[in-house]
Amino acid sequence: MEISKEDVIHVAELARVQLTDSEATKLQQDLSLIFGHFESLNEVDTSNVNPTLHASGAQIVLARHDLEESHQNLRQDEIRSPLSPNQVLLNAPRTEDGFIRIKGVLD
Amino acid sequence: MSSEIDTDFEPVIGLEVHIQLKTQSKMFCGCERAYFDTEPNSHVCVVCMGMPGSLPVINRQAVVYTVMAGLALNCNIPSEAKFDRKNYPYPDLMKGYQISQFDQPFCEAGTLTIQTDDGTQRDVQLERIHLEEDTARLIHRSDSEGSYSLLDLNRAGSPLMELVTKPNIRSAAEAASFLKRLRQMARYLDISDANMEKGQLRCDANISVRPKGVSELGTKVEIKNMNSFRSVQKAIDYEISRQISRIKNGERIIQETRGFIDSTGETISQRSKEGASDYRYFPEPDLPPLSLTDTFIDEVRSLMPELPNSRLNRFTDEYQLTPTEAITLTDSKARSSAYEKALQADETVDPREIAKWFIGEVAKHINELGVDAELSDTKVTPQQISRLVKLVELKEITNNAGREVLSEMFAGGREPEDLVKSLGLKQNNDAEVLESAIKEVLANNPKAIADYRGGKESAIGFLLGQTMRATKGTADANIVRELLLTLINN
Repeated sequence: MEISKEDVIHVAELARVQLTDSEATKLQQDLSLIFGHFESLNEVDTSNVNPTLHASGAQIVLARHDLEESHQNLRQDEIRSPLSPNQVLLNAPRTEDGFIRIKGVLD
Repeated sequence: MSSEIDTDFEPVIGLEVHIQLKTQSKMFCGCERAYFDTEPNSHVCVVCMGMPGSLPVINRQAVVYTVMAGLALNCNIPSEAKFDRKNYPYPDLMKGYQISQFDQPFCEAGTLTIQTDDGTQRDVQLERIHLEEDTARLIHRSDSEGSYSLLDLNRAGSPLMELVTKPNIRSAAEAASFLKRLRQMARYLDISDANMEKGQLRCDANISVRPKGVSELGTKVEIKNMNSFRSVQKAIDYEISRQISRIKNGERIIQETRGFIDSTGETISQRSKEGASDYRYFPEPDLPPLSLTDTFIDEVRSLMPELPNSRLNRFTDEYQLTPTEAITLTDSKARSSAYEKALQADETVDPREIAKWFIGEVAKHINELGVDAELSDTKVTPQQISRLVKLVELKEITNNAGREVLSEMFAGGREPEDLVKSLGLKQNNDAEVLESAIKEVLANNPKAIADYRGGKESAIGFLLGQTMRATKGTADANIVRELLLTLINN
Protein backbone atom coordinates (compact mmCIF):
# COMPACT_ATOMS: atom_id res chain seq x y z
CA MET A 1 0.00 0.00 0.00
CA GLU A 2 1.32 3.42 -0.97
CA ILE A 3 1.32 6.07 1.77
CA SER A 4 1.64 9.54 0.28
CA LYS A 5 3.88 12.25 1.64
CA GLU A 6 0.74 14.30 2.35
CA ASP A 7 -0.52 11.45 4.57
CA VAL A 8 2.72 11.54 6.53
CA ILE A 9 2.62 15.31 6.98
CA HIS A 10 -1.06 15.16 8.02
CA VAL A 11 -0.41 12.49 10.67
CA ALA A 12 2.63 14.41 11.90
CA GLU A 13 0.53 17.54 12.32
CA LEU A 14 -2.15 15.63 14.24
CA ALA A 15 0.57 14.32 16.58
CA ARG A 16 2.18 17.79 16.80
CA VAL A 17 5.47 16.36 15.48
CA GLN A 18 7.68 18.52 13.28
CA LEU A 19 9.37 16.68 10.41
CA THR A 20 12.12 17.74 8.04
CA ASP A 21 11.57 17.02 4.37
CA SER A 22 14.04 14.12 4.38
CA GLU A 23 12.41 12.63 7.50
CA ALA A 24 9.02 12.82 5.83
CA THR A 25 10.38 11.05 2.76
CA LYS A 26 11.96 8.31 4.85
CA LEU A 27 8.76 7.83 6.89
CA GLN A 28 6.73 7.69 3.71
CA GLN A 29 8.82 4.72 2.57
CA ASP A 30 8.80 3.03 6.01
CA LEU A 31 5.06 3.44 6.52
CA SER A 32 4.32 2.18 3.01
CA LEU A 33 6.25 -0.99 3.84
CA ILE A 34 4.50 -1.42 7.20
CA PHE A 35 1.03 -0.89 5.75
CA GLY A 36 1.92 -3.23 2.91
CA HIS A 37 2.86 -5.86 5.45
CA PHE A 38 -0.49 -5.59 7.24
CA GLU A 39 -2.34 -5.66 3.95
CA SER A 40 -1.73 -9.37 3.83
CA LEU A 41 -4.42 -9.61 6.56
CA ASN A 42 -6.97 -8.70 3.89
CA GLU A 43 -6.47 -12.14 2.41
CA VAL A 44 -8.16 -13.76 5.44
CA ASP A 45 -11.84 -14.53 4.83
CA THR A 46 -13.75 -12.82 7.68
CA SER A 47 -17.23 -13.03 6.17
CA ASN A 48 -18.39 -15.35 8.98
CA VAL A 49 -16.70 -13.48 11.84
CA ASN A 50 -18.43 -10.86 14.00
CA PRO A 51 -16.61 -7.54 14.40
CA THR A 52 -14.35 -7.59 17.45
CA LEU A 53 -14.82 -4.60 19.77
CA HIS A 54 -12.37 -5.63 22.42
CA ALA A 55 -9.37 -7.88 22.37
CA SER A 56 -10.25 -9.78 25.56
CA GLY A 57 -13.78 -10.63 24.50
CA ALA A 58 -14.89 -9.52 27.97
CA GLN A 59 -18.11 -7.61 28.52
CA ILE A 60 -19.42 -5.55 31.43
CA VAL A 61 -22.95 -6.78 32.11
CA LEU A 62 -25.16 -4.19 33.76
CA ALA A 63 -28.10 -5.78 35.55
CA ARG A 64 -29.99 -4.84 38.71
CA HIS A 65 -27.34 -3.68 41.18
CA ASP A 66 -27.95 -6.63 43.53
CA LEU A 67 -27.69 -9.10 40.64
CA GLU A 68 -24.55 -7.70 39.11
CA GLU A 69 -21.36 -9.63 39.43
CA SER A 70 -18.43 -7.47 40.33
CA HIS A 71 -16.30 -6.46 37.39
CA GLN A 72 -12.87 -4.93 37.53
CA ASN A 73 -13.96 -2.22 35.09
CA LEU A 74 -17.08 -1.14 37.01
CA ARG A 75 -17.32 0.56 40.37
CA GLN A 76 -19.77 2.13 42.79
CA ASP A 77 -19.82 5.92 43.04
CA GLU A 78 -17.51 6.31 46.03
CA ILE A 79 -14.85 8.89 46.74
CA ARG A 80 -11.27 7.70 47.26
CA SER A 81 -8.53 9.92 48.62
CA PRO A 82 -6.56 11.74 45.94
CA LEU A 83 -2.83 12.23 45.59
CA SER A 84 -1.42 15.08 47.65
CA PRO A 85 -1.00 18.28 45.62
CA ASN A 86 2.77 17.84 46.06
CA GLN A 87 2.64 14.43 44.43
CA VAL A 88 0.46 15.78 41.61
CA LEU A 89 2.99 18.51 40.84
CA LEU A 90 6.06 16.29 41.25
CA ASN A 91 6.61 15.79 37.50
CA ALA A 92 5.59 19.26 36.45
CA PRO A 93 8.53 21.18 34.97
CA ARG A 94 7.08 24.42 36.31
CA THR A 95 4.32 25.30 38.78
CA GLU A 96 2.61 28.45 40.03
CA ASP A 97 0.12 28.86 42.92
CA GLY A 98 -0.58 25.11 42.92
CA PHE A 99 -1.20 25.02 39.16
CA ILE A 100 0.95 23.41 36.50
CA ARG A 101 2.44 26.19 34.42
CA ILE A 102 2.61 25.54 30.68
CA LYS A 103 3.22 27.45 27.48
CA GLY A 104 0.41 29.81 26.49
CA VAL A 105 -2.33 28.09 24.51
CA LEU A 106 -4.39 31.20 23.87
CA ASP A 107 -3.39 33.40 20.93
CA MET B 1 -27.72 44.00 13.94
CA SER B 2 -31.47 43.66 14.30
CA SER B 3 -32.90 40.45 15.66
CA GLU B 4 -35.65 40.56 13.06
CA ILE B 5 -35.34 37.49 10.91
CA ASP B 6 -35.91 37.78 7.17
CA THR B 7 -39.01 35.75 6.34
CA ASP B 8 -37.63 34.65 2.94
CA PHE B 9 -35.11 32.50 4.80
CA GLU B 10 -35.44 29.63 7.23
CA PRO B 11 -32.83 29.10 9.96
CA VAL B 12 -31.79 25.50 10.67
CA ILE B 13 -30.33 25.01 14.14
CA GLY B 14 -28.93 21.98 15.93
CA LEU B 15 -27.60 22.04 19.47
CA GLU B 16 -24.83 20.14 21.22
CA VAL B 17 -25.32 20.34 24.95
CA HIS B 18 -22.91 19.16 27.62
CA ILE B 19 -24.27 18.48 31.10
CA GLN B 20 -22.04 17.78 34.10
CA LEU B 21 -23.39 14.85 36.08
CA LYS B 22 -23.77 15.22 39.83
CA THR B 23 -21.96 12.06 40.89
CA GLN B 24 -19.84 11.90 44.04
CA SER B 25 -16.71 10.67 42.27
CA LYS B 26 -15.26 11.16 38.79
CA MET B 27 -16.10 9.16 35.66
CA PHE B 28 -13.21 6.70 35.67
CA CYS B 29 -11.59 7.11 39.11
CA GLY B 30 -12.51 7.69 42.75
CA CYS B 31 -11.44 11.33 42.98
CA GLU B 32 -14.09 13.70 44.30
CA ARG B 33 -15.98 15.20 41.36
CA ALA B 34 -17.02 18.58 42.79
CA TYR B 35 -14.38 21.17 41.94
CA PHE B 36 -16.11 24.49 42.53
CA ASP B 37 -14.11 26.57 45.04
CA THR B 38 -11.43 23.88 45.53
CA GLU B 39 -7.67 24.28 45.75
CA PRO B 40 -6.11 23.60 42.31
CA ASN B 41 -5.00 20.01 41.71
CA SER B 42 -6.48 18.76 45.00
CA HIS B 43 -8.87 16.18 43.45
CA VAL B 44 -6.41 14.31 41.29
CA CYS B 45 -5.02 10.77 41.03
CA VAL B 46 -2.92 8.76 38.58
CA VAL B 47 -6.00 7.88 36.48
CA CYS B 48 -7.29 11.42 35.88
CA MET B 49 -3.67 12.57 35.44
CA GLY B 50 -3.31 10.07 32.62
CA MET B 51 -0.23 8.41 34.17
CA PRO B 52 1.16 5.52 32.12
CA GLY B 53 -0.06 2.18 33.39
CA SER B 54 -3.17 3.54 35.12
CA LEU B 55 -6.52 2.13 34.04
CA PRO B 56 -10.02 3.64 33.94
CA VAL B 57 -12.89 2.06 35.91
CA ILE B 58 -16.44 3.04 34.94
CA ASN B 59 -18.54 4.86 37.55
CA ARG B 60 -21.83 2.91 37.52
CA GLN B 61 -23.82 5.91 38.76
CA ALA B 62 -22.80 8.02 35.75
CA VAL B 63 -24.19 5.32 33.45
CA VAL B 64 -27.39 5.19 35.54
CA TYR B 65 -27.82 8.99 35.25
CA THR B 66 -27.23 8.96 31.49
CA VAL B 67 -29.71 6.13 30.90
CA MET B 68 -32.16 7.94 33.22
CA ALA B 69 -31.88 11.07 31.08
CA GLY B 70 -32.42 8.91 28.00
CA LEU B 71 -35.57 7.35 29.44
CA ALA B 72 -36.94 10.76 30.47
CA LEU B 73 -36.31 12.07 26.94
CA ASN B 74 -37.94 9.10 25.18
CA CYS B 75 -34.67 7.71 23.78
CA ASN B 76 -34.01 4.16 22.71
CA ILE B 77 -31.64 2.47 25.12
CA PRO B 78 -29.65 -0.05 23.07
CA SER B 79 -28.76 -3.38 24.64
CA GLU B 80 -25.06 -2.81 23.91
CA ALA B 81 -22.87 0.24 24.24
CA LYS B 82 -19.15 0.97 24.31
CA PHE B 83 -16.62 3.69 24.97
CA ASP B 84 -14.23 4.97 22.30
CA ARG B 85 -11.08 7.05 22.19
CA LYS B 86 -11.30 10.47 20.63
CA ASN B 87 -7.77 11.58 19.82
CA TYR B 88 -6.65 15.19 19.82
CA PRO B 89 -3.67 16.89 21.41
CA TYR B 90 -4.51 19.76 23.73
CA PRO B 91 -3.06 20.59 27.15
CA ASP B 92 -6.45 20.24 28.91
CA LEU B 93 -6.53 16.59 27.90
CA MET B 94 -4.13 14.59 30.01
CA LYS B 95 -3.88 11.41 27.97
CA GLY B 96 -3.86 12.99 24.53
CA TYR B 97 -7.31 11.48 24.02
CA GLN B 98 -10.72 11.74 25.59
CA ILE B 99 -12.73 8.65 26.51
CA SER B 100 -16.06 9.27 24.79
CA GLN B 101 -18.62 7.29 22.83
CA PHE B 102 -18.66 7.19 19.03
CA ASP B 103 -21.02 4.77 17.30
CA GLN B 104 -22.61 2.96 20.25
CA PRO B 105 -23.84 5.59 22.73
CA PHE B 106 -26.08 4.83 25.71
CA CYS B 107 -29.10 6.64 24.25
CA GLU B 108 -30.33 7.01 20.68
CA ALA B 109 -33.00 9.29 19.15
CA GLY B 110 -35.49 10.76 21.65
CA THR B 111 -37.57 13.94 21.93
CA LEU B 112 -37.98 16.98 24.15
CA THR B 113 -41.11 19.14 24.02
CA ILE B 114 -40.45 22.86 23.70
CA GLN B 115 -42.52 26.00 23.49
CA THR B 116 -42.44 27.49 19.98
CA ASP B 117 -42.50 31.20 19.13
CA ASP B 118 -46.29 31.22 18.68
CA GLY B 119 -46.82 29.65 22.11
CA THR B 120 -47.63 26.13 20.94
CA GLN B 121 -45.73 23.01 22.01
CA ARG B 122 -43.51 21.04 19.63
CA ASP B 123 -41.17 18.07 19.93
CA VAL B 124 -37.49 18.60 19.11
CA GLN B 125 -35.91 15.35 17.86
CA LEU B 126 -32.71 14.18 19.48
CA GLU B 127 -29.88 12.43 17.69
CA ARG B 128 -28.27 10.80 20.71
CA ILE B 129 -26.99 11.15 24.28
CA HIS B 130 -23.57 9.84 25.20
CA LEU B 131 -21.21 9.84 28.14
CA GLU B 132 -17.64 11.11 28.21
CA GLU B 133 -15.06 12.70 30.49
CA ASP B 134 -14.61 16.41 31.11
CA THR B 135 -11.29 18.17 30.47
CA ALA B 136 -8.94 20.02 32.82
CA ARG B 137 -9.40 23.73 33.47
CA LEU B 138 -7.01 26.20 31.82
CA ILE B 139 -6.36 29.68 33.14
CA HIS B 140 -4.55 32.19 30.97
CA ARG B 141 -2.08 34.68 32.40
CA SER B 142 0.88 36.71 31.26
CA ASP B 143 4.05 38.09 32.82
CA SER B 144 7.38 39.48 31.64
CA GLU B 145 8.02 36.22 29.73
CA GLY B 146 4.80 36.67 27.78
CA SER B 147 1.51 34.83 27.94
CA TYR B 148 1.23 31.39 29.53
CA SER B 149 -1.39 29.01 30.82
CA LEU B 150 -2.09 27.34 34.15
CA LEU B 151 -3.54 23.87 34.45
CA ASP B 152 -5.91 22.65 37.18
CA LEU B 153 -6.84 18.96 36.86
CA ASN B 154 -9.71 18.92 39.37
CA ARG B 155 -12.31 18.94 36.59
CA ALA B 156 -10.38 16.47 34.42
CA GLY B 157 -12.19 13.14 34.20
CA SER B 158 -15.53 14.33 35.60
CA PRO B 159 -18.56 12.67 34.00
CA LEU B 160 -20.00 14.73 31.18
CA MET B 161 -23.17 13.83 29.32
CA GLU B 162 -23.44 15.13 25.76
CA LEU B 163 -26.79 15.51 24.08
CA VAL B 164 -27.03 16.22 20.34
CA THR B 165 -30.27 17.36 18.71
CA LYS B 166 -31.29 16.86 15.10
CA PRO B 167 -31.16 20.13 13.17
CA ASN B 168 -34.83 20.87 13.70
CA ILE B 169 -34.78 23.97 15.86
CA ARG B 170 -35.98 27.00 13.92
CA SER B 171 -35.24 30.10 16.00
CA ALA B 172 -33.15 31.51 18.83
CA ALA B 173 -36.19 31.54 21.10
CA GLU B 174 -36.83 27.85 20.37
CA ALA B 175 -33.20 27.07 21.23
CA ALA B 176 -33.56 28.93 24.54
CA SER B 177 -36.80 27.08 25.28
CA PHE B 178 -35.07 23.77 24.54
CA LEU B 179 -32.26 24.56 26.99
CA LYS B 180 -34.67 25.68 29.70
CA ARG B 181 -36.74 22.49 29.37
CA LEU B 182 -33.55 20.43 29.38
CA ARG B 183 -32.32 22.17 32.53
CA GLN B 184 -35.72 21.59 34.13
CA MET B 185 -35.51 17.88 33.27
CA ALA B 186 -31.94 17.57 34.62
CA ARG B 187 -33.00 19.21 37.88
CA TYR B 188 -36.14 17.07 38.26
CA LEU B 189 -34.03 13.94 37.71
CA ASP B 190 -31.45 15.43 40.09
CA ILE B 191 -28.64 14.31 37.80
CA SER B 192 -27.13 17.81 37.48
CA ASP B 193 -27.60 21.32 38.84
CA ALA B 194 -27.38 22.37 35.17
CA ASN B 195 -26.33 25.94 35.97
CA MET B 196 -25.07 27.58 32.75
CA GLU B 197 -23.13 30.32 34.55
CA LYS B 198 -21.21 27.65 36.46
CA GLY B 199 -20.48 25.64 33.30
CA GLN B 200 -22.64 22.71 34.44
CA LEU B 201 -24.67 23.10 31.26
CA ARG B 202 -22.75 24.18 28.15
CA CYS B 203 -24.14 24.68 24.71
CA ASP B 204 -22.73 24.90 21.18
CA ALA B 205 -25.00 25.63 18.22
CA ASN B 206 -24.74 24.59 14.57
CA ILE B 207 -26.52 27.16 12.46
CA SER B 208 -27.29 27.46 8.77
CA VAL B 209 -29.94 29.28 6.79
CA ARG B 210 -31.70 28.34 3.56
CA PRO B 211 -34.31 29.98 1.35
CA LYS B 212 -37.86 29.06 2.42
CA GLY B 213 -39.11 25.97 0.65
CA VAL B 214 -35.66 24.61 -0.17
CA SER B 215 -34.90 21.25 1.42
CA GLU B 216 -31.14 21.26 0.89
CA LEU B 217 -29.19 22.50 3.92
CA GLY B 218 -26.98 25.59 3.78
CA THR B 219 -23.35 25.67 4.95
CA LYS B 220 -23.31 25.39 8.72
CA VAL B 221 -21.36 27.46 11.19
CA GLU B 222 -20.61 26.30 14.72
CA ILE B 223 -21.08 28.86 17.50
CA LYS B 224 -19.28 28.45 20.82
CA ASN B 225 -18.84 30.36 24.05
CA MET B 226 -22.45 31.03 25.02
CA ASN B 227 -22.60 31.09 28.81
CA SER B 228 -26.20 32.00 29.59
CA PHE B 229 -29.68 31.54 28.14
CA ARG B 230 -29.61 35.19 27.14
CA SER B 231 -26.30 34.86 25.27
CA VAL B 232 -27.52 31.73 23.46
CA GLN B 233 -30.46 33.70 22.18
CA LYS B 234 -28.37 36.76 21.26
CA ALA B 235 -25.65 34.70 19.56
CA ILE B 236 -28.08 32.69 17.43
CA ASP B 237 -30.08 35.76 16.41
CA TYR B 238 -26.87 37.56 15.44
CA GLU B 239 -25.56 34.59 13.46
CA ILE B 240 -28.81 34.09 11.53
CA SER B 241 -28.86 37.76 10.51
CA ARG B 242 -25.18 37.66 9.58
CA GLN B 243 -25.64 34.64 7.32
CA ILE B 244 -28.75 36.03 5.65
CA SER B 245 -27.13 39.37 4.87
CA ARG B 246 -24.04 37.61 3.48
CA ILE B 247 -26.19 35.51 1.17
CA LYS B 248 -28.17 38.55 0.08
CA ASN B 249 -24.90 40.32 -0.76
CA GLY B 250 -23.93 37.36 -2.91
CA GLU B 251 -21.25 36.23 -0.47
CA ARG B 252 -20.43 32.67 0.48
CA ILE B 253 -20.92 31.21 3.99
CA ILE B 254 -17.66 29.68 5.19
CA GLN B 255 -17.89 26.52 7.27
CA GLU B 256 -16.10 27.54 10.45
CA THR B 257 -16.28 27.86 14.21
CA ARG B 258 -17.23 31.27 15.56
CA GLY B 259 -17.07 32.47 19.15
CA PHE B 260 -19.75 34.64 20.73
CA ILE B 261 -18.50 37.87 22.32
CA ASP B 262 -20.94 38.82 25.06
CA SER B 263 -19.90 42.48 25.34
CA THR B 264 -20.53 43.26 21.65
CA GLY B 265 -23.26 40.70 20.96
CA GLU B 266 -21.34 39.51 17.87
CA THR B 267 -19.84 36.23 16.73
CA ILE B 268 -16.27 36.28 15.45
CA SER B 269 -14.33 33.72 13.49
CA GLN B 270 -12.03 31.51 15.55
CA ARG B 271 -8.93 30.39 13.72
CA SER B 272 -9.76 26.87 12.62
CA LYS B 273 -7.56 24.15 14.06
CA GLU B 274 -5.31 22.81 11.36
CA GLY B 275 -6.29 19.43 9.98
CA ALA B 276 -9.86 20.18 11.11
CA SER B 277 -11.45 17.38 13.07
CA ASP B 278 -9.63 14.15 12.51
CA TYR B 279 -10.27 12.44 15.82
CA ARG B 280 -9.37 8.90 14.71
CA TYR B 281 -11.95 7.29 17.00
CA PHE B 282 -11.40 3.67 17.90
CA PRO B 283 -12.89 1.35 20.55
CA GLU B 284 -11.36 2.08 23.98
CA PRO B 285 -8.99 -0.84 24.58
CA ASP B 286 -8.94 -0.23 28.36
CA LEU B 287 -12.70 -0.75 28.73
CA PRO B 288 -14.72 -3.75 27.56
CA PRO B 289 -18.06 -3.07 25.85
CA LEU B 290 -21.15 -2.92 28.05
CA SER B 291 -24.31 -4.97 27.95
CA LEU B 292 -27.38 -3.09 29.24
CA THR B 293 -29.84 -5.74 30.31
CA ASP B 294 -33.59 -5.19 30.68
CA THR B 295 -33.27 -5.64 34.44
CA PHE B 296 -30.78 -2.76 34.49
CA ILE B 297 -33.01 -0.48 32.43
CA ASP B 298 -36.03 -1.42 34.60
CA GLU B 299 -34.07 -0.61 37.73
CA VAL B 300 -33.08 2.81 36.35
CA ARG B 301 -36.72 3.45 35.43
CA SER B 302 -37.80 2.57 38.96
CA LEU B 303 -35.34 5.13 40.36
CA MET B 304 -36.81 7.98 38.30
CA PRO B 305 -38.66 10.67 40.24
CA GLU B 306 -41.89 12.30 39.06
CA LEU B 307 -41.27 14.28 35.85
CA PRO B 308 -42.44 17.86 35.23
CA ASN B 309 -45.36 16.92 32.99
CA SER B 310 -46.91 14.37 35.30
CA ARG B 311 -46.49 16.71 38.27
CA LEU B 312 -48.20 19.43 36.25
CA ASN B 313 -51.14 17.15 35.48
CA ARG B 314 -51.38 16.05 39.09
CA PHE B 315 -51.48 19.68 40.26
CA THR B 316 -54.43 20.49 38.00
CA ASP B 317 -56.26 17.25 38.89
CA GLU B 318 -55.60 16.96 42.61
CA TYR B 319 -55.45 20.59 43.64
CA GLN B 320 -57.75 22.09 40.99
CA LEU B 321 -55.10 24.59 39.90
CA THR B 322 -55.48 26.34 36.56
CA PRO B 323 -53.00 25.16 33.88
CA THR B 324 -51.17 28.50 34.14
CA GLU B 325 -50.85 28.16 37.91
CA ALA B 326 -49.66 24.55 37.58
CA ILE B 327 -47.09 25.45 34.88
CA THR B 328 -45.71 28.30 36.99
CA LEU B 329 -45.41 26.16 40.10
CA THR B 330 -43.90 23.09 38.41
CA ASP B 331 -41.40 25.13 36.37
CA SER B 332 -38.96 24.52 39.19
CA LYS B 333 -38.82 21.23 41.06
CA ALA B 334 -37.81 22.97 44.28
CA ARG B 335 -40.71 25.42 44.07
CA SER B 336 -43.30 22.72 43.39
CA SER B 337 -41.90 20.58 46.21
CA ALA B 338 -42.02 23.52 48.64
CA TYR B 339 -45.64 24.11 47.58
CA GLU B 340 -46.54 20.50 48.34
CA LYS B 341 -44.79 20.68 51.71
CA ALA B 342 -46.97 23.68 52.55
CA LEU B 343 -50.07 21.67 51.56
CA GLN B 344 -49.02 18.73 53.71
CA ALA B 345 -48.45 20.99 56.72
CA ASP B 346 -52.19 21.58 57.08
CA GLU B 347 -54.61 19.83 54.76
CA THR B 348 -57.51 22.07 55.79
CA VAL B 349 -56.00 25.05 53.93
CA ASP B 350 -57.25 25.49 50.36
CA PRO B 351 -54.51 24.37 47.89
CA ARG B 352 -55.62 27.06 45.45
CA GLU B 353 -55.15 29.81 48.04
CA ILE B 354 -51.67 28.52 48.90
CA ALA B 355 -50.89 28.38 45.16
CA LYS B 356 -51.92 32.03 44.73
CA TRP B 357 -49.60 33.08 47.57
CA PHE B 358 -46.70 31.00 46.19
CA ILE B 359 -47.07 32.41 42.68
CA GLY B 360 -47.71 35.99 43.82
CA GLU B 361 -46.28 37.38 47.03
CA VAL B 362 -43.91 34.54 47.92
CA ALA B 363 -42.36 34.49 44.42
CA LYS B 364 -41.93 38.27 44.57
CA HIS B 365 -39.81 38.03 47.71
CA ILE B 366 -37.77 35.06 46.42
CA ASN B 367 -37.08 36.74 43.06
CA GLU B 368 -35.45 39.63 44.88
CA LEU B 369 -32.62 37.23 45.73
CA GLY B 370 -31.92 36.36 42.07
CA VAL B 371 -33.37 34.45 39.14
CA ASP B 372 -32.46 31.01 40.41
CA ALA B 373 -33.37 31.57 44.08
CA GLU B 374 -35.73 29.21 45.88
CA LEU B 375 -37.67 29.33 49.14
CA SER B 376 -34.97 27.23 50.77
CA ASP B 377 -32.57 30.16 50.25
CA THR B 378 -34.72 32.28 52.60
CA LYS B 379 -35.59 32.20 56.30
CA VAL B 380 -39.20 31.21 55.55
CA THR B 381 -40.43 27.60 55.59
CA PRO B 382 -43.33 26.08 53.61
CA GLN B 383 -45.05 25.30 56.93
CA GLN B 384 -44.98 28.98 57.93
CA ILE B 385 -46.54 29.96 54.61
CA SER B 386 -49.31 27.44 55.17
CA ARG B 387 -50.01 28.96 58.60
CA LEU B 388 -50.05 32.48 57.19
CA VAL B 389 -52.53 31.55 54.45
CA LYS B 390 -54.68 29.88 57.09
CA LEU B 391 -54.76 33.09 59.13
CA VAL B 392 -56.03 34.92 56.05
CA GLU B 393 -58.47 32.17 55.21
CA LEU B 394 -59.93 32.23 58.73
CA LYS B 395 -60.15 36.03 58.44
CA GLU B 396 -57.88 36.42 61.43
CA ILE B 397 -56.03 38.95 59.30
CA THR B 398 -56.86 40.71 56.05
CA ASN B 399 -55.13 40.04 52.75
CA ASN B 400 -53.20 43.28 53.06
CA ALA B 401 -52.11 42.45 56.57
CA GLY B 402 -51.06 39.02 55.30
CA ARG B 403 -48.77 40.67 52.76
CA GLU B 404 -47.24 42.81 55.48
CA VAL B 405 -46.69 39.80 57.75
CA LEU B 406 -45.07 37.88 54.87
CA SER B 407 -42.65 40.75 54.21
CA GLU B 408 -41.64 40.66 57.87
CA MET B 409 -41.28 36.87 57.73
CA PHE B 410 -38.86 37.16 54.81
CA ALA B 411 -37.02 40.00 56.53
CA GLY B 412 -36.60 38.45 59.94
CA GLY B 413 -37.70 34.83 59.86
CA ARG B 414 -40.26 35.26 62.64
CA GLU B 415 -43.43 33.21 63.06
CA PRO B 416 -46.57 34.56 61.35
CA GLU B 417 -48.66 34.40 64.57
CA ASP B 418 -46.06 36.39 66.53
CA LEU B 419 -45.90 39.02 63.82
CA VAL B 420 -49.68 39.43 63.70
CA LYS B 421 -49.59 40.08 67.45
CA SER B 422 -46.58 42.39 67.57
CA LEU B 423 -47.68 44.38 64.52
CA GLY B 424 -51.25 44.61 65.87
CA LEU B 425 -52.69 43.28 62.63
CA LYS B 426 -55.40 41.00 63.95
CA GLN B 427 -58.51 41.65 61.89
CA ASN B 428 -61.00 43.75 63.80
CA ASN B 429 -64.39 44.41 62.28
CA ASP B 430 -65.99 45.38 65.54
CA ALA B 431 -68.72 47.86 64.50
CA GLU B 432 -68.11 50.22 67.41
CA VAL B 433 -64.38 50.48 66.77
CA LEU B 434 -64.91 50.97 63.03
CA GLU B 435 -67.64 53.55 63.55
CA SER B 436 -65.51 55.70 65.79
CA ALA B 437 -62.60 55.45 63.35
CA ILE B 438 -64.81 56.45 60.43
CA LYS B 439 -66.38 59.33 62.36
CA GLU B 440 -62.94 60.67 63.07
CA VAL B 441 -61.93 60.42 59.40
CA LEU B 442 -65.15 62.16 58.34
CA ALA B 443 -64.62 64.94 60.87
CA ASN B 444 -61.12 65.57 59.51
CA ASN B 445 -62.13 65.53 55.83
CA PRO B 446 -65.17 67.72 55.29
CA LYS B 447 -64.01 68.56 51.75
CA ALA B 448 -64.04 64.93 50.64
CA ILE B 449 -67.57 64.55 52.01
CA ALA B 450 -68.66 67.63 50.11
CA ASP B 451 -67.00 66.29 46.93
CA TYR B 452 -68.80 62.98 47.31
CA ARG B 453 -72.15 64.61 47.93
CA GLY B 454 -71.45 66.85 44.93
CA GLY B 455 -71.26 63.70 42.76
CA LYS B 456 -67.53 62.90 42.85
CA GLU B 457 -67.70 59.14 43.43
CA SER B 458 -63.91 58.76 43.75
CA ALA B 459 -63.93 60.72 47.01
CA ILE B 460 -65.23 57.61 48.72
CA GLY B 461 -62.07 55.78 47.79
CA PHE B 462 -60.00 58.44 49.52
CA LEU B 463 -62.09 58.22 52.69
CA LEU B 464 -61.89 54.42 52.59
CA GLY B 465 -58.11 54.61 52.34
CA GLN B 466 -57.92 57.01 55.28
CA THR B 467 -60.03 54.65 57.41
CA MET B 468 -57.97 51.63 56.44
CA ARG B 469 -54.85 53.51 57.43
CA ALA B 470 -56.39 54.59 60.71
CA THR B 471 -57.25 50.95 61.50
CA LYS B 472 -53.79 49.79 60.30
CA GLY B 473 -55.32 47.52 57.66
CA THR B 474 -56.95 45.28 60.26
CA ALA B 475 -60.46 45.94 58.98
CA ASP B 476 -62.18 44.24 56.07
CA ALA B 477 -62.39 46.81 53.27
CA ASN B 478 -65.87 45.74 52.19
CA ILE B 479 -67.28 46.15 55.68
CA VAL B 480 -65.62 49.56 56.06
CA ARG B 481 -66.99 50.69 52.71
CA GLU B 482 -70.55 49.74 53.62
CA LEU B 483 -70.34 51.40 57.01
CA LEU B 484 -68.77 54.49 55.46
CA LEU B 485 -71.59 54.87 52.93
CA THR B 486 -74.22 54.44 55.63
CA LEU B 487 -72.63 57.11 57.80
CA ILE B 488 -72.21 59.66 54.97
CA ASN B 489 -75.67 59.14 53.56
CA ASN B 490 -77.30 59.65 56.94
